[in-house]
Amino acid sequence: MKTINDSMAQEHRRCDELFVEMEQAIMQHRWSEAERLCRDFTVAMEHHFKIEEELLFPVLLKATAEARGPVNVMLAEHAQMRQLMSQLVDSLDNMSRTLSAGYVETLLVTMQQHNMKEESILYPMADETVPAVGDAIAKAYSESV
Amino acid sequence: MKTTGLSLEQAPPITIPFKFFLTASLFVLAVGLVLAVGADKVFLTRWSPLALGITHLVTLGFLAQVMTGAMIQLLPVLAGSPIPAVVTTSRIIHLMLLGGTLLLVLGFFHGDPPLIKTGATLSVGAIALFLAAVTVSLIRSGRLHDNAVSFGMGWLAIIPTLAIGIYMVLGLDGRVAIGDVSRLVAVHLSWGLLGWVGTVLFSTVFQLLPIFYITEELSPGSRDLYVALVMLLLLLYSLGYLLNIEILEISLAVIPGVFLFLSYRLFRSIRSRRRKIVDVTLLFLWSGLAFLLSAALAWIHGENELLVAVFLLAGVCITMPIGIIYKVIPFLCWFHLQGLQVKQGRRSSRLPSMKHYISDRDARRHYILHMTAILLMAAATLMPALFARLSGLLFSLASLYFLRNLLFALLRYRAQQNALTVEQ
Repeated sequence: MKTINDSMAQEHRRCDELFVEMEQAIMQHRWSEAERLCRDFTVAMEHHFKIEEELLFPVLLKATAEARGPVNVMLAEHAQMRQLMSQLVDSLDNMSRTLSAGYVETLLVTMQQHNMKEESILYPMADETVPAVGDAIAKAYSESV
Repeated sequence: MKTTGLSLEQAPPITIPFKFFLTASLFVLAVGLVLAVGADKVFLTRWSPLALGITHLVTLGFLAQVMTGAMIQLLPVLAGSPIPAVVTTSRIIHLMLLGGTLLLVLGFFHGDPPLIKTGATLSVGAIALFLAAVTVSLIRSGRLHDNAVSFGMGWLAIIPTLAIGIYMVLGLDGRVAIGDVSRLVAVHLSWGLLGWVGTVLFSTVFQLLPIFYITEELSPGSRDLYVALVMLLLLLYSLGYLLNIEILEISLAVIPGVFLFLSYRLFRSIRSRRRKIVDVTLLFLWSGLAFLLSAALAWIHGENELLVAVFLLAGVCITMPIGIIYKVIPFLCWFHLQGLQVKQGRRSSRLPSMKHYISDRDARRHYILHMTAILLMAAATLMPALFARLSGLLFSLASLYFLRNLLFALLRYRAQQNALTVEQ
C-alpha cells in the first residue's frame, strides 16, 4: 500500500512537471501556450492544497497537538504560493518575460523548500500517526485524474 | 519528536546571513589585493608566507564564514530547530572568526608566532562554539533530514583539521615535536580541504541541485557513500602518517579519482535537469565542477601543485558558494519581506520577486570578471611574471563587484522593508 508520503510526493513531482513546461513556454515567449500551461499548473497546485487543507491537515491536527506548528507554517506557505501564482498570472497578461521569470523563480524556490519540509517532516509524521487517511488521499487523487 | 521547529519565527533574522556573506566577500577581496601586491612572491612556492595567508583567507575567511552562516540559516530546515540564542551566538561566532582569521593571516604574513597563536585560538574557539551550538540544536530536534548525516560527517572533518592546526601552533615554540612539517601540513590540508570543504560543500550541492533545477535526487545512500568514502580514505591516510605505514598514505592518491567521478556524476545530473534554463547560479556551479575536474587532472599529472591549489581554492571553494549565495540571498530577501507582510496582516500588497534584489545582469558581470581572474591565476602558476599581478587586480575587481551586488541587495531589501512599514 502506498504511504501518505508516497502519494503526496508523487503529486509534488507532477506539479514540478507542469511547472517546467510552463516555464519553458514563458522563456520562449509562447504566451498563449504559457497561459494555458499556467492554468493547468495552478489547478494542479490548488487541488493539492485542497487535499492537504481539507483532508490531511484536519485529521492530523485532531490526532496530535504536535502537528499544530508545522501545519500552520504549511498553511502560511500555501498563502505565499497562492499570492505568487496570482502575481505570475498578472505578469503573463503583460507578456513580460523578465517580470514572469522573477515570479517563476521565486515560486519554484518557495515550492521546493516547502515540499522538502513536507516530505521530510510532515508526511512522515502523518504516516506515523494517521496512516489510514492514506486511502482517502489516494482516492481523491485517482478521482481527479 | 519535536517538529514545532517549522515555524516561520524560527528562521534566523536576515541580518545573520548578510553579515556572514558580506564578511566573506571582504575576505575574497583581500585575497585579490594580496595577490596583486605580493604577486611575484605568491606563485614561487606553496610554502611562502603569502601563499599560507591566502589559503587561510579562503578557507577561514571566506568558506568558514559562508558555511557557518549558511548552516545557521539551514538548520531549522535540516533539523527542525535553530541554534540556541541564535542572534547572540551567531554574533559571537562571526566576530571571533573574523578577528581570528585576520590575526592568523597577519601572523603568517609577518612570521609573528604570538599573532598566529591568538588568531588560531580565536578561530578554533569560533568553530568549537558553532559545533557546540549545532549539537545542542540537533539534540533538541528528534527528527533529522536524511541529508543531515552527510552534513554531520563533513563537519566532523573540521575537528582533525583544527586539532592538527593547534598542534602545529604549539610546535612554534617547541612545546611539541613536529618532525616532518610538510607531511603534517599535508594531513591538516587534506582534512580541511577534502574532508570538511569537500563534503560539506558537495552535500549542499546535492541538496540544492534538485531544488533549483529539478534534477533527479541523488539517493541518500549514494550521498552518504561519497562522504563515507572520502572520510575512510582520509582516516587511512592519517593512520599511515601516524603509524608510519607508507602503503596507507597511498590512499590519498585515490581522492582525484573520487573527484573525477563526482564531477562526472554532477555534470550528468545538471545535463539531465528538467528545468532547462541557464542562470548565473548554474554557470557558477557548472564552472566550479569544471574546476574540480581540472584539479583532479592536474593532481594526477602531478607537476604543478600551485595549479591544483588555484583550481581547488579559487575555482571550486570560492566559485561554487558564490553561485549558491546568488540564489539564497535574493530568496531570503523576498521570504523575510513576505513574512513581514503577513505579520502586518496585509497579504494583498505586491512584493517584487527575488530577482529584484540581485539582477541577472549584475550577477553575470561578476561571473565574467570572476572567471577571467581565475583563468589568469591558473596562467600565473606557469608564467607568474606575466599574469600574477594582473590576476590579482582582476580578482580584486571581481570581488568588489560581488561586494557591491550583496550591498545592493541589502539596500533594496531595506528600501522595501521601509516601504512596507510606511504603508502600514
